[in-house]
Amino acid sequence: MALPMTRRRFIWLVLLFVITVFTSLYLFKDFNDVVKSIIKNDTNKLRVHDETIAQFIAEAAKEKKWDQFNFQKKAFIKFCYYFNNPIFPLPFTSKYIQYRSFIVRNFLLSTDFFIHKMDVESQIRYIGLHNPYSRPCSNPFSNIYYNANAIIDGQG
Amino acid sequence: MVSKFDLIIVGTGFASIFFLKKYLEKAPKHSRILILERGQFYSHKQRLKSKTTTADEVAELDVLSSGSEAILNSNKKKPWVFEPNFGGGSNTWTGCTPRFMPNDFKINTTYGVGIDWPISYDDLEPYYTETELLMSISGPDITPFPKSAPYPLPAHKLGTIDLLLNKQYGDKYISQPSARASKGIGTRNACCTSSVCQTCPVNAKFTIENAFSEMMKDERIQLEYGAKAFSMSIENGTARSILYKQNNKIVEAQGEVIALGANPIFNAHILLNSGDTNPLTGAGLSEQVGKYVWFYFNNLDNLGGGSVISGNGYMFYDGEHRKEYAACLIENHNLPYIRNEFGKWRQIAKFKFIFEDLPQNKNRVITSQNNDMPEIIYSGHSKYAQKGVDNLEFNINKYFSFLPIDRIEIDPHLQSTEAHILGTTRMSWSADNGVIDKNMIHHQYRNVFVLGGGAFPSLSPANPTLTLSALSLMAADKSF
Repeated sequence: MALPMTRRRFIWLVLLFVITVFTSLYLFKDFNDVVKSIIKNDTNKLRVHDETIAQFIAEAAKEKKWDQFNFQKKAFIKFCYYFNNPIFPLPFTSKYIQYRSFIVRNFLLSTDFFIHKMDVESQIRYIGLHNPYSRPCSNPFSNIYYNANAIIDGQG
Repeated sequence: MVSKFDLIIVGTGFASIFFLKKYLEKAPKHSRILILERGQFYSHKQRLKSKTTTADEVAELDVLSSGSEAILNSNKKKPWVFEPNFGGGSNTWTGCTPRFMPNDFKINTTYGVGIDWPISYDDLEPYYTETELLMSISGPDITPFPKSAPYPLPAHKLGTIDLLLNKQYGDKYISQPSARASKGIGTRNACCTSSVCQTCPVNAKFTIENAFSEMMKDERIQLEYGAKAFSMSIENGTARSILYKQNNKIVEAQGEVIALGANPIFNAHILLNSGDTNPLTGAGLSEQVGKYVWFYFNNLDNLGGGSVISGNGYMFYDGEHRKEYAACLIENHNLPYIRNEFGKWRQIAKFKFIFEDLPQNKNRVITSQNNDMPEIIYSGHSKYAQKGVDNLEFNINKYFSFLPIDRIEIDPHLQSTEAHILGTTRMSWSADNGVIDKNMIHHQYRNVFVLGGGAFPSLSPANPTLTLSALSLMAADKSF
C-alpha cells in the first residue's frame, strides 16, 4: 500500500534526493584530486612546491599506486575527506586517519623530507615514488639513520 | 615399474628440509631419497623481478589474502595461507624466530588448560640451538627462555620505544630473535630494514634456497616437481608406498620410510585419504590470534629500530593469568609509519599482540569428493584465546602506561590470519589423545613421520617456525 504524500514526507524526500546527488558528485570526483587535496592540506606547514606534489601524483598514477585501494575504500576516503569533521566525527574515523596517513606517508617517503630528518626549514624535493624494491634500505626511521640510544640519553 | 626408495619426503618447506638435513648426516652413501614438491622452483631472483610495482602495503591494514585455490574453505573470513612451491613458507615468511617458553610444553600441568606435550623444553633445547645455528639467527644475549648457547649473530638494534620498554621490563622485552641476518653471512646480506620481508630486497632472511641449495645437490636425492602427493598405500599397519599426481598421471613410489612434511592441512589430508581412522587426525586445526594497536606519543619519537619487527614483549606471555586466559606475545612493527600531524610525524608506534589458541577438535581438515582437495571446517578460535583478547586493554594500561602516551587506538578487528597452520596431527603419549608420538612417528603407521606445526598439542603465542624446524631435526636424530 502506497503511503500518502504529506508535505513533511515530500520535504524529506527532496532533502534525501539533494543529499544523494550532492554526495554522488563528490564520490565520483577523481581520486587523484582528493589525494592532492589531502597532501596539500596535511603538509601546508612544510616547504613544498605544488610541482613536487604534482610529480608525485603523476608517478603514483602511472604506477597505479592507488589501485591498492579498491572502489569502496576510495569512496570511503572521499566521503570522509569531504564530510568528516571534529564536531560530528563519522564512524570508522580511525581507519580513515590510517588511510589518510598512508597517502601522506607515501608522499613524504617519496621526497627528501625524512632523509633530512624532518627539517621543516628545508625545501622538500621529490626523489621518486617510494618503493623498497627500487630503493632498499630506505626506511628513514631505522637504525641506519638514527641511534636510538643517543636519542634516549639526550632526552634523559 | 614402481620405484623404491629408502626415504620419501613430501614437501620442501622447513619441516621437510630440516628433517632431510639430519637424515643425510646419518644415512649411508647408497641411500635413495625421493622428495615430492607439489609446486615449482622460483628463485629469489625471479621473485624479486616480479616485485616491480609498489609493495601492497594497504592490504596489511585489512586482510592478508590467502589466494590458495588448493583447498576447499567455505569460511571466507578465515584464510589459511601457505606457499606451495619449493622452499614453502621460507620464501615468504618474515623470519621471526622466538623460542617457545618452557611452560608452553607443560601448559596443562602448570596452568590446568590445554594439553601437555610429550616432550619438554629441555628435550628440544639442543635442537633449538642447532636450528638457530643453521638459520644464523640474530638475537640478544639475554632472553626470557633459557639458552645453552648464544645466538650466532648479534641482535638487531632496539628503537627508542623498545629501549624504554627494555629498561622497564628487562628480559621480558628484548630485540626480536630473527632469521633476518644482522650481519652479512654466506649468501645472505645484512638486513637493512627495507620492511618488505615477504620477498627481501637484499636477501637477508633465511630461506631454504639460500641456505640449503648445496645440500639439495646431494646425489642421493631425487627431487620431483609438480608432484602432488595425495595418499599412501597401507598394508598391515605399514605404509608401503606413496601415491602422487604428476603431469596428470598417478605415480606410485615405494618407501621404507615416508615423511609427510607438507603443511598440516595436506599432511592430515594424505593420512585421511590413506584410511587413517584416528578421530584426531585432521582435528585441532588452529593458529594464533593477532590484533594491532596504534600508540600515539607525546614528544617521543619512535626512531632507530633495526629490522622490520624490532622488539618482542613477554610481559603478559607466561604467568598465572594463563589459568584464565591466553598468553600474549608482543611485536613492535618497525615499518615507516607516520602520524599525520605536523611536528609529530614519528611519535607513533604500531604493535601487534598475538594470543595463543587452544586447538579445538571441531576445527578440522576432512576429505572431499576430490582427493586432491582437503576441505576445511573452521568455526573460530577458543574462548580462552578470546578472553586473552578481551583483557588486552587492561594489560596495555598495566604495562604501557609509563610511556608518554597521547592516545591509543586498538584495532576493532582481529587479523584474519597469522599465516600459520597448526594442530591437525598432534603429538601425544598415545593414540587416544593424539596422532603422532614424541619422535613425530605416527602412532599406527610406524614407518611414517608426520612433520611440521601440525604436531603442536598446544600452540604458544610464539611464531612456530623455529620450533617445528627443531622438532624435525630431533625426530630424524632420534630415529636414524
